[in-house]
Amino acid sequence: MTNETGYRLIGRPTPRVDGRAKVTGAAAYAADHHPEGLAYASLVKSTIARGRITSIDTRKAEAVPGVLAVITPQNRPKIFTVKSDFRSARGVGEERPPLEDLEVYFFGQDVAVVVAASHEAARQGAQAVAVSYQAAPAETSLEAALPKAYEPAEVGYGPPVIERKEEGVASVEAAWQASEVRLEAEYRTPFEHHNPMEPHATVALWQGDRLTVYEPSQWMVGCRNTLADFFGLPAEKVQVLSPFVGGGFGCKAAVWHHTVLAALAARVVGRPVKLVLAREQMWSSVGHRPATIQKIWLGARKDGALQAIRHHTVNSTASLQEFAEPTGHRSSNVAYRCPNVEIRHQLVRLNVGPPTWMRAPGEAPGSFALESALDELAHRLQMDPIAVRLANYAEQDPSSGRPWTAKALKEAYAVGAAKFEWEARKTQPGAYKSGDWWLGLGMATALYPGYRSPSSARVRLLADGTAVVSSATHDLGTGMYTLMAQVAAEELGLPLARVRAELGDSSLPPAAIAGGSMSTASVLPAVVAAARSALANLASLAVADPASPLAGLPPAELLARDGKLASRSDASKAESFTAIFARLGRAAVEATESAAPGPESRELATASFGAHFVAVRVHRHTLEVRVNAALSVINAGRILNPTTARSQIQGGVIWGIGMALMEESHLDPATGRFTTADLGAYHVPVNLDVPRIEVEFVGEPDTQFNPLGARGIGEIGITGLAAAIANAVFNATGRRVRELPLTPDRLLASPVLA
Amino acid sequence: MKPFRYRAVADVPAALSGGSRDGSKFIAGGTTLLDLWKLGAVAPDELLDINGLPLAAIERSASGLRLGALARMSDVAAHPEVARDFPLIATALLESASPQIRNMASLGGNLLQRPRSSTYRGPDPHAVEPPGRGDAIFGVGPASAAPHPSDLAVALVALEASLVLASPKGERTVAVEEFYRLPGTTPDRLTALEQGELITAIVVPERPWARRSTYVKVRDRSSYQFALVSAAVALEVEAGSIKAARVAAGGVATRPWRLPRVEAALLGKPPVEASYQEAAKLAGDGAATHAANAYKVELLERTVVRALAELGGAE
Repeated sequence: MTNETGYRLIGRPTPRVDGRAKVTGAAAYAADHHPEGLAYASLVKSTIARGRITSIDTRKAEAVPGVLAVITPQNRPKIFTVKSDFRSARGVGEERPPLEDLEVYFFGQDVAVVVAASHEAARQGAQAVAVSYQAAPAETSLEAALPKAYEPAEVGYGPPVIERKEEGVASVEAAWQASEVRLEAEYRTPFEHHNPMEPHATVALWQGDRLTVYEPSQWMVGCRNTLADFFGLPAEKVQVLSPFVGGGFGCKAAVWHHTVLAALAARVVGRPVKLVLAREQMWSSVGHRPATIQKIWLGARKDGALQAIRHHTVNSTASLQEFAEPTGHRSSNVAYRCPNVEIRHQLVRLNVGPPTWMRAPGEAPGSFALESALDELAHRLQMDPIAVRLANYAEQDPSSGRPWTAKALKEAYAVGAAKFEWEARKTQPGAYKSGDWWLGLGMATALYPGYRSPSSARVRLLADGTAVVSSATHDLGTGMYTLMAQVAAEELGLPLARVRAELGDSSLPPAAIAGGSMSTASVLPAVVAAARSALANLASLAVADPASPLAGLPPAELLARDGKLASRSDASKAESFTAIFARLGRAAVEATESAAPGPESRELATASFGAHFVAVRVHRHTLEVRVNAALSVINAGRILNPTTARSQIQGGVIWGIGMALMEESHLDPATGRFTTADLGAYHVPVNLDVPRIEVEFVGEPDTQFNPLGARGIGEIGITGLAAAIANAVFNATGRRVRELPLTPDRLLASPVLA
Repeated sequence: MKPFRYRAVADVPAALSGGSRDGSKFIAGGTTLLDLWKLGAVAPDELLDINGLPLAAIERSASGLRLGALARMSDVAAHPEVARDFPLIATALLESASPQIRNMASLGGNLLQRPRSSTYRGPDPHAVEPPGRGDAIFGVGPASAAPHPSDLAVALVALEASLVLASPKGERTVAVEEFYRLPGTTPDRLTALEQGELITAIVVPERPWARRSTYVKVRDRSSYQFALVSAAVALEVEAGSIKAARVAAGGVATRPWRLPRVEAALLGKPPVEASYQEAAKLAGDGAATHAANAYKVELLERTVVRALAELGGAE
């Protein structure tokens, strides 16, 4: 029962349906909720990196007018320990429960929470809690702790070591040694903190043993289950509400301690409690991207064909928790054809809070190393960087040998090269100058895997001829409201304005985590299925009604168009939804459906691909790097909404500019404190840093991946972008900077090579 | 985040009598003070709102420029005579902060910004910040190596400006260069300002080089960042040679830092890049560096060259 005439709304540039609410302030984010009797909580954080609390003096805090309670490890009510587990949909950022005991494992660990009648009193109370410590030696430097690096059991849900060799090759290292051209280089990426515009905020409300939490979350189901486990409740006793999220980028995927503490505080004081993280607490409460040191060896023939890739990574993790940023696994393992590949990965435990997923975890720092190394190889071979990539083009997924469902990367290179006038580029660095600025061009491949997870949706047709589409999915600013409305309206034969989307509520039909760029491919097929079922239900009711002009027709004979059900073969037989409902005397007809990857997902490999092209300028005296232009040519299958899709790629590119040029959290080895803990010291791009970013989409609908043929686009934009900028800086100056970000001091420290 | 009383004062005498009490602080734009209050770095009992005082005038006269301490950064930067006759001031202001902050922040408040380190911005004034890439290379003391954050102050030092300070005892005038103190072991005493004393005006003298002046600020991103290194420069050129030069640096010192040896080396030289290169080699004299900020010596030299070159060689 689909429309016959091809898509009417899918694929059409569509402004986001929630845009007006956002720009007028009508959209209520978590912290905008003020239930009756609301109290406020503020965190007290450790000021040492490792040791033991010897005393907590709460008297001054308790004397602050308005303070209701001070919760410490010494009086914290019982809560349970919860472990992260994807299969059962539990996600905990920091697995040691909050305020568990007097041990301190990192600077900024929660050591108390103060609850008060006002936000100001809570914060004043938190500043008045006096905590004494017995400090112990801490690991606070990745460099210093490198000798303690170890191989974890698992990296990116697979083994830490991957080795593929041609027959007769003794080792990948030997293949590298035997290569005609050899490159060996070390690349470094710093700690980064997500810092979405909206800091984390929780409003927790108990009604008996029912817990309601307003919370910006990327995982409604996971957040609900996890909170239920913390408090020993069945999942249905917890409701998580997250209709608007001011950016997530991974740091709102798992449940972090402040959320649990807000709910605990609400129980202790018997009032609803709001806890909003101060911006500086975003550096200790909600995870970070770990620092990486990546060593790459590339061996190639003189014609550019790779003979060996070795990619060894060490990344920092927390003292109590393992987190592997799967750099080599998600870049060198999958990006190019190469007969001999060796990926190794080690971790170093530091006294820092747990790292977590951050936009393209693994792919973003991994592609910086690999795509920089390929540029270095191209320069050494005196080959065009695109030609080197084409010489190693992988028609199948090199890691599994399975064919790609779609790739179109050659097309992306070609379209990008033509649009960016790449052929005119001079390979010799320093060939272009404009006034006091050197100019340079760079490119890199973008790659992000295609994931899909079981998800469900409900479509409800209402008597007034409108419809509501609902799923416990998420709109982090990504455009999901709009996509759900578009896809449902498409299937239902309704105008977009007559379909309302609901999401961000854990009581809605369950959906996948908003992670791994998989929401589009996971949720929207369920929306299609639910819309078709809802129509089928309505059709069955209509044809069974003798008073309907559709009476007696087989339901499969009907299609939905212009707010009506109509016969496919006889256009005169039609009836509007409102007329059907009016006679039926019903308020609504609905259906809930699920969708999941089929067996083909085990025979094929899926990823999105693309090519970034950037133009930079570098000041000849002061070596500041600025981006003049960026072009991203992306194959992400069918683009359901070019307007929001373009924004997603542009957002990824802006993240890439930040990663390349300015983002860096500095960990002080003396104290274990991130010293860059405000937005004056941790730099993200300002408007002036963001040039015109062009986005082109290539490729065909990937219907082998899912019936809509769409893949996710949330993360691919950042992959490869930092390398494209570093490669452009080399082209401009001859300075090869292998450590991010590319600040003037790092350029000064990198000699002119060419 | 201790609660405070708030009182708006109507005239300067009322401000001065209220401000002399311990525990009271003046508030103008509030763009710095409220941050410090939230961070627990200041805990005033009373805030005296001085925004109603008649101290916002921008006055150009034959003797120079007089800027009321309550003039907003954006108003001063946009003032046609400031931009024409003292381009260094306009440029330094426009390179500062963000448009929103410039619309709120007063000149007096800008000059009283605290360095960006936990020593000055947290509850513990004895907190010592670890060595970092932002650290100063001049005027570093045991208590702090954080550079002074004000761009305007660097410009004013190059222009030999003074501040008018009022207190119940009367008025005094202090050169901007002498207004700021080195941190030494008393980082809490950033300036010569006494409790209750109020900056009422900035006086910039008429000088032949002021019209040929500019400010270059080097940083990781294009805007809204404190300087890694900045240079305020002014040149007077006559008959093809440099007759007078002023060079001051920001981002490199715990207070605005004049570079007199560089200035001296420029005198009598032709206004060409080779002269600037030669003189700038002296910019790092006396620098105290560590591994993370050693780059600032070369970056300072390069910044001084760039700033001088941007002034152009025409007379």
